[in-house]
Amino acid sequence: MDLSPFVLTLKIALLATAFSLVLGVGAAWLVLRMHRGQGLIDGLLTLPMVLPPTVVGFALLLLLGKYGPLGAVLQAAGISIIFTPTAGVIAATVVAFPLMYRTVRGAMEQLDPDLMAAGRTLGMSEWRIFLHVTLPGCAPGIAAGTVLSFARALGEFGATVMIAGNIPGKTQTMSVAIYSAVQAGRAHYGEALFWTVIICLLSFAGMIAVNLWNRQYIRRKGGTPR
Amino acid sequence: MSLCVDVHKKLEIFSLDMQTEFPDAPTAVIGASGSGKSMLLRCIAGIIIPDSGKIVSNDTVWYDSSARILLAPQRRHAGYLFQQYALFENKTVAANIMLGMKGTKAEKKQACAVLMERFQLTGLAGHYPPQLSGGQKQRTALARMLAAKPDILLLDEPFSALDTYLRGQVRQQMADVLEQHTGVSLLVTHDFSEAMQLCPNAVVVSDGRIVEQGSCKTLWKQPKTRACAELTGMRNFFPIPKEMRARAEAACCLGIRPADFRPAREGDAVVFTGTVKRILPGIHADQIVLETVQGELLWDAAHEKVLLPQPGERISLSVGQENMHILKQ
Repeated sequence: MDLSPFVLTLKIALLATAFSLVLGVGAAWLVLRMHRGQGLIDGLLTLPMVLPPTVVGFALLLLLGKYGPLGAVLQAAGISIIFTPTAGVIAATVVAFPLMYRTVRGAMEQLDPDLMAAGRTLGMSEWRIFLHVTLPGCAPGIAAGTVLSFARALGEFGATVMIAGNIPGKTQTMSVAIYSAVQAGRAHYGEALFWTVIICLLSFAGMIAVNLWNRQYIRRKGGTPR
Repeated sequence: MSLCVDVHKKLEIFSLDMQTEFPDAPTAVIGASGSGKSMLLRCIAGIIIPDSGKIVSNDTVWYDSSARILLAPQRRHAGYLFQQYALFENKTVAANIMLGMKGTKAEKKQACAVLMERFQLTGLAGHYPPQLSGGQKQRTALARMLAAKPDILLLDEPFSALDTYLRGQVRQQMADVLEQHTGVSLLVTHDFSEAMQLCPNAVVVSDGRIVEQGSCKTLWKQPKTRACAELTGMRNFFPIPKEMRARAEAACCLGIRPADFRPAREGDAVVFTGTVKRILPGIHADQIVLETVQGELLWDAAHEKVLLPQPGERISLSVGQENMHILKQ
Protein backbone atom coordinates (compact mmCIF):
# COMPACT_ATOMS: atom_id res chain seq x y z
CA MET A 1 0.00 0.00 0.00
CA ASP A 2 1.23 3.48 -0.87
CA LEU A 3 1.97 5.43 2.31
CA SER A 4 2.79 8.69 0.54
CA PRO A 5 -0.54 10.39 1.54
CA PHE A 6 0.44 9.95 5.18
CA VAL A 7 3.88 11.50 4.75
CA LEU A 8 2.56 14.29 2.55
CA THR A 9 -0.32 15.14 4.88
CA LEU A 10 1.97 15.24 7.88
CA LYS A 11 4.42 17.49 6.07
CA ILE A 12 1.66 19.82 4.87
CA ALA A 13 -0.01 19.95 8.27
CA LEU A 14 3.22 20.64 10.14
CA LEU A 15 4.34 23.34 7.73
CA ALA A 16 0.88 24.92 7.63
CA THR A 17 0.77 24.91 11.44
CA ALA A 18 4.19 26.52 11.64
CA PHE A 19 3.20 29.24 9.16
CA SER A 20 -0.13 29.84 10.91
CA LEU A 21 1.69 30.09 14.22
CA VAL A 22 4.01 32.84 13.06
CA LEU A 23 1.39 34.66 11.00
CA GLY A 24 -1.43 34.20 13.52
CA VAL A 25 0.56 35.44 16.53
CA GLY A 26 1.94 38.34 14.51
CA ALA A 27 -1.46 39.29 13.12
CA ALA A 28 -3.11 39.11 16.55
CA TRP A 29 -0.43 41.36 18.02
CA LEU A 30 -0.64 43.87 15.18
CA VAL A 31 -4.44 43.98 15.03
CA LEU A 32 -4.70 44.62 18.77
CA ARG A 33 -2.33 47.55 18.42
CA MET A 34 -4.40 49.13 15.66
CA HIS A 35 -6.30 52.26 16.58
CA ARG A 36 -8.58 52.26 13.57
CA GLY A 37 -10.13 49.69 11.25
CA GLN A 38 -9.69 46.81 13.68
CA GLY A 39 -13.10 45.40 12.84
CA LEU A 40 -12.49 45.40 9.11
CA ILE A 41 -9.10 43.69 9.28
CA ASP A 42 -10.43 41.26 11.85
CA GLY A 43 -13.27 40.33 9.53
CA LEU A 44 -10.95 39.82 6.58
CA LEU A 45 -8.58 37.62 8.58
CA THR A 46 -11.39 35.47 9.94
CA LEU A 47 -13.16 35.09 6.60
CA PRO A 48 -11.40 31.84 5.52
CA MET A 49 -12.80 30.20 8.64
CA VAL A 50 -16.42 30.89 7.85
CA LEU A 51 -16.35 30.54 4.06
CA PRO A 52 -16.85 27.13 2.44
CA PRO A 53 -13.40 25.67 1.72
CA THR A 54 -14.28 25.42 -1.95
CA VAL A 55 -14.79 29.18 -2.04
CA VAL A 56 -11.39 29.68 -0.43
CA GLY A 57 -9.90 27.23 -2.91
CA PHE A 58 -11.48 28.98 -5.86
CA ALA A 59 -10.27 32.37 -4.63
CA LEU A 60 -6.76 30.97 -4.26
CA LEU A 61 -7.00 29.48 -7.73
CA LEU A 62 -7.94 32.87 -9.14
CA LEU A 63 -5.07 34.49 -7.26
CA LEU A 64 -2.35 31.91 -7.88
CA GLY A 65 -3.47 30.45 -11.21
CA LYS A 66 -1.57 31.07 -14.42
CA TYR A 67 -3.60 34.19 -15.16
CA GLY A 68 -4.05 35.37 -11.58
CA PRO A 69 -2.27 38.51 -10.38
CA LEU A 70 0.18 36.62 -8.18
CA GLY A 71 0.33 33.55 -10.39
CA ALA A 72 1.34 35.63 -13.42
CA VAL A 73 4.24 37.13 -11.51
CA LEU A 74 5.38 33.72 -10.33
CA GLN A 75 4.90 32.33 -13.82
CA ALA A 76 7.24 35.00 -15.15
CA ALA A 77 9.80 33.89 -12.58
CA GLY A 78 9.38 30.32 -13.75
CA ILE A 79 7.47 29.12 -10.72
CA SER A 80 4.19 27.29 -10.98
CA ILE A 81 2.36 26.57 -7.77
CA ILE A 82 -0.98 25.11 -8.78
CA PHE A 83 -1.15 21.32 -8.47
CA THR A 84 2.04 21.05 -6.42
CA PRO A 85 2.49 20.11 -2.74
CA THR A 86 3.28 23.80 -2.14
CA ALA A 87 -0.29 24.60 -3.12
CA GLY A 88 -1.39 22.09 -0.50
CA VAL A 89 0.60 23.93 2.13
CA ILE A 90 -0.87 27.26 1.06
CA ALA A 91 -4.42 25.93 1.12
CA ALA A 92 -3.95 24.36 4.55
CA THR A 93 -2.31 27.51 5.92
CA VAL A 94 -5.09 29.78 4.71
CA VAL A 95 -7.82 27.71 6.33
CA ALA A 96 -5.85 26.97 9.53
CA PHE A 97 -4.64 30.52 10.07
CA PRO A 98 -7.92 32.05 11.31
CA LEU A 99 -8.18 29.45 14.07
CA MET A 100 -4.72 30.37 15.32
CA TYR A 101 -5.35 34.08 14.93
CA ARG A 102 -8.68 33.97 16.77
CA THR A 103 -7.43 31.88 19.66
CA VAL A 104 -4.23 33.85 20.17
CA ARG A 105 -6.06 37.13 19.87
CA GLY A 106 -8.50 36.03 22.54
CA ALA A 107 -5.63 35.07 24.83
CA MET A 108 -3.90 38.39 24.23
CA GLU A 109 -7.07 40.31 25.01
CA GLN A 110 -7.37 38.43 28.30
CA LEU A 111 -3.87 39.44 29.31
CA ASP A 112 -3.75 42.11 32.02
CA PRO A 113 -2.82 45.36 30.22
CA ASP A 114 -0.94 46.42 33.35
CA LEU A 115 1.67 43.76 32.53
CA MET A 116 2.53 45.51 29.29
CA ALA A 117 2.39 48.88 31.03
CA ALA A 118 4.78 47.55 33.69
CA GLY A 119 7.20 46.47 30.98
CA ARG A 120 7.05 49.93 29.43
CA THR A 121 7.66 51.79 32.68
CA LEU A 122 10.61 49.45 33.26
CA GLY A 123 12.09 50.69 30.00
CA MET A 124 11.67 47.42 28.09
CA SER A 125 11.39 47.84 24.32
CA GLU A 126 8.09 46.86 22.67
CA TRP A 127 9.83 43.86 21.11
CA ARG A 128 11.20 42.65 24.45
CA ILE A 129 7.77 43.11 26.02
CA PHE A 130 6.29 40.99 23.23
CA LEU A 131 8.94 38.33 23.75
CA HIS A 132 9.08 38.24 27.55
CA VAL A 133 5.59 39.29 28.60
CA THR A 134 2.98 38.95 25.86
CA LEU A 135 4.15 35.69 24.33
CA PRO A 136 4.60 33.70 27.57
CA GLY A 137 1.46 35.28 28.96
CA CYS A 138 -0.68 33.79 26.22
CA ALA A 139 1.23 30.53 25.88
CA PRO A 140 -1.83 28.38 26.73
CA GLY A 141 -3.79 30.23 24.05
CA ILE A 142 -1.01 29.68 21.54
CA ALA A 143 -0.94 26.00 22.42
CA ALA A 144 -4.69 25.71 21.94
CA GLY A 145 -4.44 27.56 18.64
CA THR A 146 -1.70 25.21 17.51
CA VAL A 147 -3.81 22.11 18.17
CA LEU A 148 -6.81 23.57 16.38
CA SER A 149 -4.74 24.68 13.42
CA PHE A 150 -2.94 21.37 13.18
CA ALA A 151 -6.17 19.42 13.30
CA ARG A 152 -7.74 21.71 10.72
CA ALA A 153 -4.71 21.47 8.41
CA LEU A 154 -4.64 17.71 8.79
CA GLY A 155 -8.24 17.39 7.66
CA GLU A 156 -8.20 20.08 4.99
CA PHE A 157 -10.01 18.88 1.88
CA GLY A 158 -11.98 21.45 -0.09
CA ALA A 159 -9.39 24.11 -0.79
CA THR A 160 -6.65 21.52 -1.20
CA VAL A 161 -8.48 19.58 -3.85
CA MET A 162 -9.17 22.81 -5.74
CA ILE A 163 -5.59 24.07 -5.97
CA ALA A 164 -3.34 21.10 -5.17
CA GLY A 165 -5.47 18.55 -6.96
CA ASN A 166 -5.55 14.82 -6.43
CA ILE A 167 -2.38 13.47 -7.98
CA PRO A 168 -1.53 10.14 -6.30
CA GLY A 169 2.03 10.09 -4.99
CA LYS A 170 2.40 13.84 -5.53
CA THR A 171 -0.40 15.93 -4.08
CA GLN A 172 -2.83 13.36 -2.74
CA THR A 173 -3.30 13.91 1.00
CA MET A 174 -5.07 11.52 3.36
CA SER A 175 -8.43 13.29 3.29
CA VAL A 176 -8.30 13.40 -0.50
CA ALA A 177 -7.25 9.75 -0.56
CA ILE A 178 -10.34 8.86 1.48
CA TYR A 179 -12.55 10.66 -1.01
CA SER A 180 -10.84 8.93 -3.95
CA ALA A 181 -11.15 5.54 -2.28
CA VAL A 182 -14.84 6.00 -1.62
CA GLN A 183 -15.38 7.22 -5.17
CA ALA A 184 -13.66 4.09 -6.44
CA GLY A 185 -16.39 1.92 -4.92
CA ARG A 186 -17.01 -0.49 -2.07
CA ALA A 187 -13.94 -2.55 -2.82
CA HIS A 188 -11.78 0.37 -1.69
CA TYR A 189 -13.64 1.12 1.55
CA GLY A 190 -10.90 -0.60 3.54
CA GLU A 191 -8.40 1.93 2.27
CA ALA A 192 -10.70 4.80 3.23
CA LEU A 193 -11.17 3.32 6.67
CA PHE A 194 -7.41 2.96 7.10
CA TRP A 195 -6.80 6.67 6.41
CA THR A 196 -9.75 7.62 8.60
CA VAL A 197 -8.25 5.77 11.54
CA ILE A 198 -4.85 7.35 10.93
CA ILE A 199 -6.31 10.88 10.85
CA CYS A 200 -8.28 10.23 14.04
CA LEU A 201 -5.19 8.93 15.81
CA LEU A 202 -3.02 11.84 14.70
CA SER A 203 -5.55 14.50 15.75
CA PHE A 204 -6.11 12.73 19.04
CA ALA A 205 -2.38 12.49 19.72
CA GLY A 206 -1.96 16.20 19.07
CA MET A 207 -4.78 17.01 21.45
CA ILE A 208 -3.33 14.79 24.20
CA ALA A 209 0.15 16.23 23.76
CA VAL A 210 -1.10 19.78 24.25
CA ASN A 211 -3.22 18.82 27.25
CA LEU A 212 -0.17 17.23 28.87
CA TRP A 213 1.89 20.30 28.14
CA ASN A 214 -0.83 22.52 29.59
CA ARG A 215 -0.86 20.52 32.82
CA GLN A 216 2.88 20.82 33.05
CA TYR A 217 2.65 24.55 32.38
CA ILE A 218 0.07 25.16 35.11
CA ARG A 219 2.03 23.05 37.59
CA ARG A 220 5.19 24.99 36.86
CA LYS A 221 3.35 28.22 37.49
CA GLY A 222 2.51 26.99 40.96
CA GLY A 223 -1.17 26.26 40.42
CA THR A 224 -3.09 23.01 40.46
CA PRO A 225 -4.26 21.61 37.17
CA ARG A 226 -8.01 21.31 36.85
CA MET B 1 14.02 68.77 39.88
CA SER B 2 10.27 68.93 39.85
CA LEU B 3 7.31 67.67 37.93
CA CYS B 4 4.83 70.04 36.28
CA VAL B 5 1.56 68.45 35.35
CA ASP B 6 -1.34 69.91 33.43
CA VAL B 7 -3.59 67.19 32.12
CA HIS B 8 -7.10 67.09 30.74
CA LYS B 9 -8.90 63.97 29.73
CA LYS B 10 -12.55 63.17 29.26
CA LEU B 11 -13.43 59.88 30.89
CA GLU B 12 -16.64 57.94 30.98
CA ILE B 13 -17.87 59.08 34.39
CA PHE B 14 -16.00 62.32 34.98
CA SER B 15 -13.31 64.37 33.34
CA LEU B 16 -9.77 64.75 34.55
CA ASP B 17 -8.62 68.36 34.89
CA MET B 18 -5.50 68.67 36.95
CA GLN B 19 -2.84 71.28 37.03
CA THR B 20 -0.11 71.32 39.62
CA GLU B 21 3.59 71.14 40.32
CA PHE B 22 5.13 68.42 42.44
CA PRO B 23 8.26 69.31 44.40
CA ASP B 24 11.32 67.17 44.87
CA ALA B 25 9.87 65.24 47.80
CA PRO B 26 7.28 62.57 48.49
CA THR B 27 3.78 63.84 47.81
CA ALA B 28 0.65 61.94 48.65
CA VAL B 29 -2.23 62.00 46.18
CA ILE B 30 -5.31 61.52 48.33
CA GLY B 31 -8.79 60.95 47.08
CA ALA B 32 -11.81 58.69 47.35
CA SER B 33 -11.90 55.70 45.04
CA GLY B 34 -12.85 56.72 41.52
CA SER B 35 -11.74 60.31 42.02
CA GLY B 36 -9.10 60.07 39.30
CA LYS B 37 -5.93 59.76 41.35
CA SER B 38 -4.71 56.61 39.62
CA MET B 39 -5.54 58.22 36.28
CA LEU B 40 -3.22 61.09 37.15
CA LEU B 41 -0.40 58.63 37.81
CA ARG B 42 -1.09 56.75 34.61
CA CYS B 43 -0.99 59.97 32.62
CA ILE B 44 2.35 60.87 34.17
CA ALA B 45 3.81 57.42 33.48
CA GLY B 46 2.57 57.56 29.89
CA ILE B 47 0.39 54.49 30.23
CA ILE B 48 -2.61 56.51 29.16
CA ILE B 49 -2.49 59.59 26.99
CA PRO B 50 -4.41 62.71 28.06
CA ASP B 51 -6.61 64.57 25.59
CA SER B 52 -4.64 67.74 26.08
CA GLY B 53 -2.17 69.40 28.39
CA LYS B 54 1.49 69.32 29.23
CA ILE B 55 3.78 67.25 31.43
CA VAL B 56 7.29 68.50 32.11
CA SER B 57 9.77 66.72 34.31
CA ASN B 58 13.00 68.44 35.21
CA ASP B 59 12.98 70.58 32.04
CA THR B 60 12.27 67.57 29.83
CA VAL B 61 8.93 67.74 28.06
CA TRP B 62 7.20 64.39 28.36
CA TYR B 63 3.96 65.43 26.82
CA ASP B 64 2.74 68.58 25.15
CA SER B 65 -0.47 68.42 23.17
CA SER B 66 0.05 71.81 21.48
CA ALA B 67 3.61 70.96 20.37
CA ARG B 68 2.55 67.37 19.56
CA ILE B 69 5.21 65.89 21.82
CA LEU B 70 4.62 62.49 23.34
CA LEU B 71 7.49 60.70 25.00
CA ALA B 72 7.14 56.91 25.23
CA PRO B 73 6.85 55.51 28.77
CA GLN B 74 10.18 53.78 28.19
CA ARG B 75 11.93 57.12 27.92
CA ARG B 76 10.32 58.78 30.92
CA HIS B 77 12.18 56.75 33.53
CA ALA B 78 9.17 56.79 35.80
CA GLY B 79 8.97 53.81 38.13
CA TYR B 80 5.42 52.58 38.62
CA LEU B 81 4.24 50.32 41.39
CA PHE B 82 0.98 48.73 40.35
CA GLN B 83 -1.88 48.13 42.73
CA GLN B 84 -1.93 44.41 41.89
CA TYR B 85 1.87 44.44 41.35
CA ALA B 86 1.69 43.28 37.69
CA LEU B 87 4.54 40.82 38.19
CA PHE B 88 5.49 38.65 35.23
CA GLU B 89 4.15 35.28 36.31
CA ASN B 90 6.27 33.18 34.00
CA LYS B 91 9.50 34.67 35.32
CA THR B 92 11.22 33.98 38.61
CA VAL B 93 11.63 36.68 41.23
CA ALA B 94 15.22 37.28 40.09
CA ALA B 95 14.23 37.39 36.41
CA ASN B 96 11.42 39.83 37.19
CA ILE B 97 13.88 42.14 38.89
CA MET B 98 16.50 41.87 36.15
CA LEU B 99 14.18 42.54 33.19
CA GLY B 100 14.29 46.31 33.60
CA MET B 101 18.05 46.52 34.18
CA LYS B 102 20.67 47.77 31.78
CA GLY B 103 24.24 46.49 31.53
CA THR B 104 26.10 43.20 31.22
CA LYS B 105 24.82 39.95 32.65
CA ALA B 106 27.30 40.03 35.51
CA GLU B 107 26.37 43.60 36.42
CA LYS B 108 22.69 42.71 36.37
CA LYS B 109 23.22 39.69 38.59
CA GLN B 110 25.23 41.76 41.02
CA ALA B 111 22.66 44.56 41.19
CA CYS B 112 19.86 42.02 41.50
CA ALA B 113 21.59 40.33 44.43
CA VAL B 114 21.89 43.67 46.20
CA LEU B 115 18.22 44.48 45.68
CA MET B 116 17.09 41.02 46.77
CA GLU B 117 19.16 41.37 49.91
CA ARG B 118 17.63 44.78 50.62
CA PHE B 119 14.09 43.48 50.21
CA GLN B 120 14.60 40.12 51.94
CA LEU B 121 14.06 38.18 48.74
CA THR B 122 17.38 36.32 48.53
CA GLY B 123 15.88 32.98 49.47
CA LEU B 124 13.07 33.41 46.97
CA ALA B 125 15.18 34.15 43.89
CA GLY B 126 13.99 31.05 42.03
CA HIS B 127 10.32 31.28 43.03
CA TYR B 128 7.57 32.25 40.63
CA PRO B 129 5.14 35.03 41.59
CA PRO B 130 2.13 32.71 42.15
CA GLN B 131 4.18 30.98 44.86
CA LEU B 132 4.71 34.22 46.79
CA SER B 133 2.69 35.74 49.61
CA GLY B 134 1.19 39.23 49.28
CA GLY B 135 4.05 40.88 51.13
CA GLN B 136 6.66 39.04 49.10
CA LYS B 137 4.96 40.04 45.86
CA GLN B 138 4.90 43.62 47.02
CA ARG B 139 8.63 43.56 47.82
CA THR B 140 9.43 41.94 44.49
CA ALA B 141 7.46 44.65 42.69
CA LEU B 142 9.32 47.33 44.66
CA ALA B 143 12.69 45.79 43.87
CA ARG B 144 11.76 45.43 40.21
CA MET B 145 10.71 49.06 40.04
CA LEU B 146 13.93 50.29 41.64
CA ALA B 147 16.05 47.99 39.45
CA ALA B 148 15.28 50.19 36.44
CA LYS B 149 16.73 53.17 38.34
CA PRO B 150 13.72 55.47 37.94
CA ASP B 151 13.98 59.26 38.24
CA ILE B 152 10.52 59.56 39.73
CA LEU B 153 8.45 57.07 41.69
CA LEU B 154 4.74 56.53 41.11
CA LEU B 155 3.17 54.34 43.76
CA ASP B 156 -0.43 53.37 43.09
CA GLU B 157 -2.15 52.36 46.34
CA PRO B 158 0.80 50.20 47.35
CA PHE B 159 -0.89 48.77 50.44
CA SER B 160 -4.40 48.15 49.23
CA ALA B 161 -3.90 44.43 48.57
CA LEU B 162 -2.33 43.66 51.95
CA ASP B 163 -3.86 42.80 55.30
CA THR B 164 -3.43 45.11 58.28
CA TYR B 165 -0.44 43.36 59.84
CA LEU B 166 1.55 43.24 56.60
CA ARG B 167 0.62 46.82 55.85
CA GLY B 168 2.51 47.98 58.91
CA GLN B 169 5.63 46.08 57.86
CA VAL B 170 5.56 47.21 54.26
CA ARG B 171 4.96 50.80 55.32
CA GLN B 172 8.32 50.81 57.08
CA GLN B 173 9.94 49.51 53.94
CA MET B 174 8.15 52.13 51.87
CA ALA B 175 9.29 54.91 54.19
CA ASP B 176 12.82 53.65 53.62
CA VAL B 177 12.41 53.63 49.83
CA LEU B 178 10.95 57.14 49.80
CA GLU B 179 13.70 58.42 52.05
CA GLN B 180 16.45 57.07 49.81
CA HIS B 181 14.90 58.37 46.63
CA THR B 182 16.01 61.79 45.51
CA GLY B 183 13.44 63.29 43.23
CA VAL B 184 9.71 63.41 42.84
CA SER B 185 7.68 60.57 44.29
CA LEU B 186 3.91 60.31 44.30
CA LEU B 187 1.98 58.00 46.54
CA VAL B 188 -1.65 57.43 45.69
CA THR B 189 -3.79 56.52 48.67
CA HIS B 190 -7.22 56.99 50.18
CA ASP B 191 -5.90 56.63 53.71
CA PHE B 192 -4.88 59.93 55.24
CA SER B 193 -2.88 58.40 58.08
CA GLU B 194 -0.83 56.51 55.50
CA ALA B 195 -0.19 59.74 53.62
CA MET B 196 0.80 61.53 56.79
CA GLN B 197 3.27 58.79 57.79
CA LEU B 198 5.03 58.71 54.46
CA CYS B 199 4.75 62.12 52.83
CA PRO B 200 5.25 65.66 54.10
CA ASN B 201 2.93 67.07 51.42
CA ALA B 202 -0.28 66.04 49.81
CA VAL B 203 -2.71 66.96 47.09
CA VAL B 204 -6.39 66.20 47.56
CA VAL B 205 -8.24 64.94 44.52
CA SER B 206 -11.99 64.97 44.07
CA ASP B 207 -14.02 64.35 40.90
CA GLY B 208 -10.97 64.55 38.68
CA ARG B 209 -9.78 67.86 40.10
CA ILE B 210 -7.15 68.87 42.61
CA VAL B 211 -9.16 70.65 45.28
CA GLU B 212 -6.48 71.27 47.86
CA GLN B 213 -2.74 71.10 48.20
CA GLY B 214 -0.35 71.63 51.07
CA SER B 215 1.46 69.98 53.93
CA CYS B 216 -0.33 67.01 55.43
CA LYS B 217 -0.46 68.73 58.81
CA THR B 218 -2.13 71.84 57.44
CA LEU B 219 -4.59 69.78 55.48
CA TRP B 220 -5.54 67.98 58.64
CA LYS B 221 -5.70 71.05 60.85
CA GLN B 222 -7.36 73.43 58.44
CA PRO B 223 -9.15 71.63 55.66
CA LYS B 224 -10.80 74.11 53.32
CA THR B 225 -13.01 71.82 51.31
CA ARG B 226 -15.51 69.17 52.24
CA ALA B 227 -13.65 66.57 50.13
CA CYS B 228 -10.45 67.17 52.06
CA ALA B 229 -12.28 67.15 55.38
CA GLU B 230 -13.95 63.84 54.59
CA LEU B 231 -10.65 62.26 53.60
CA THR B 232 -8.99 63.42 56.79
CA GLY B 233 -11.63 61.70 58.88
CA MET B 234 -14.19 64.42 59.48
CA ARG B 235 -17.62 62.87 59.84
CA ASN B 236 -19.96 65.64 61.00
CA PHE B 237 -21.22 68.21 58.54
CA PHE B 238 -23.89 70.74 59.40
CA PRO B 239 -25.46 73.70 57.65
CA ILE B 240 -23.74 76.91 58.67
CA PRO B 241 -25.46 78.46 61.73
CA LYS B 242 -27.03 81.90 61.22
CA GLU B 243 -24.61 83.76 63.48
CA MET B 244 -21.61 82.48 61.47
CA ARG B 245 -22.96 83.17 57.99
CA ALA B 246 -21.49 86.68 57.83
CA ARG B 247 -17.90 85.43 57.67
CA ALA B 248 -18.64 82.41 55.59
CA GLU B 249 -19.69 83.39 52.12
CA ALA B 250 -19.38 80.74 49.45
CA ALA B 251 -19.11 78.17 52.19
CA CYS B 252 -21.17 75.00 52.07
CA CYS B 253 -21.07 73.57 55.54
CA LEU B 254 -19.63 73.44 58.98
CA GLY B 255 -17.40 70.46 59.66
CA ILE B 256 -16.51 69.02 63.04
CA ARG B 257 -14.26 66.05 63.79
CA PRO B 258 -15.86 63.36 65.96
CA ALA B 259 -13.02 63.67 68.47
CA ASP B 260 -13.37 67.43 68.89
CA PHE B 261 -16.72 67.43 70.71
CA ARG B 262 -16.87 67.93 74.45
CA PRO B 263 -19.76 68.13 76.88
CA ALA B 264 -21.37 71.56 76.66
CA ARG B 265 -20.63 74.13 79.32
CA GLU B 266 -22.39 77.27 80.48
CA GLY B 267 -21.97 80.09 77.93
CA ASP B 268 -21.15 77.96 74.88
CA ALA B 269 -22.33 79.65 71.69
CA VAL B 270 -22.91 76.50 69.67
CA VAL B 271 -24.59 73.60 71.42
CA PHE B 272 -25.81 70.32 69.99
CA THR B 273 -28.41 68.61 72.11
CA GLY B 274 -29.75 65.17 71.42
CA THR B 275 -30.45 61.62 72.50
CA VAL B 276 -27.78 58.92 72.53
CA LYS B 277 -28.88 56.45 69.88
CA ARG B 278 -26.06 53.95 69.80
CA ILE B 279 -22.64 53.41 71.39
CA LEU B 280 -19.91 51.56 69.49
CA PRO B 281 -17.16 50.61 71.93
CA GLY B 282 -13.54 51.28 70.99
CA ILE B 283 -10.13 50.79 72.54
CA HIS B 284 -9.35 54.38 73.44
CA ALA B 285 -12.63 56.02 72.65
CA ASP B 286 -16.23 54.94 72.20
CA GLN B 287 -18.10 56.15 69.18
CA ILE B 288 -21.38 57.68 70.19
CA VAL B 289 -24.21 58.35 67.76
CA LEU B 290 -26.36 61.23 68.86
CA GLU B 291 -29.76 62.02 67.39
CA THR B 292 -30.08 65.82 67.25
CA VAL B 293 -32.40 68.28 65.54
CA GLN B 294 -29.58 69.08 63.11
CA GLY B 295 -29.30 65.41 62.22
CA GLU B 296 -27.19 62.48 63.33
CA LEU B 297 -23.93 63.37 65.04
CA LEU B 298 -20.84 61.25 65.68
CA TRP B 299 -18.78 61.76 68.79
CA ASP B 300 -15.58 59.92 69.62
CA ALA B 301 -15.67 60.10 73.41
CA ALA B 302 -12.20 59.40 74.83
CA HIS B 303 -12.41 57.05 77.79
CA GLU B 304 -10.10 58.99 80.09
CA LYS B 305 -11.65 62.38 79.38
CA VAL B 306 -15.36 62.04 79.92
CA LEU B 307 -17.92 60.06 81.80
CA LEU B 308 -19.61 57.96 79.16
CA PRO B 309 -23.36 58.42 78.71
CA GLN B 310 -25.92 55.60 78.46
CA PRO B 311 -28.07 54.88 75.39
CA GLY B 312 -31.26 56.93 75.52
CA GLU B 313 -29.67 59.60 77.68
CA ARG B 314 -30.10 63.23 76.63
CA ILE B 315 -26.84 65.12 76.44
CA SER B 316 -25.51 68.42 75.14
CA LEU B 317 -22.22 68.76 73.30
CA SER B 318 -20.22 71.72 72.19
CA VAL B 319 -17.05 72.35 70.33
CA GLY B 320 -14.27 74.95 70.56
CA GLN B 321 -14.23 77.76 68.03
CA GLU B 322 -10.90 76.53 66.64
CA ASN B 323 -12.37 73.10 65.92
CA MET B 324 -15.23 74.36 63.80
CA HIS B 325 -14.22 74.20 60.17
CA ILE B 326 -16.04 76.25 57.60
CA LEU B 327 -15.82 74.27 54.39
CA LYS B 328 -16.29 74.96 50.73
CA GLN B 329 -17.87 72.42 48.41
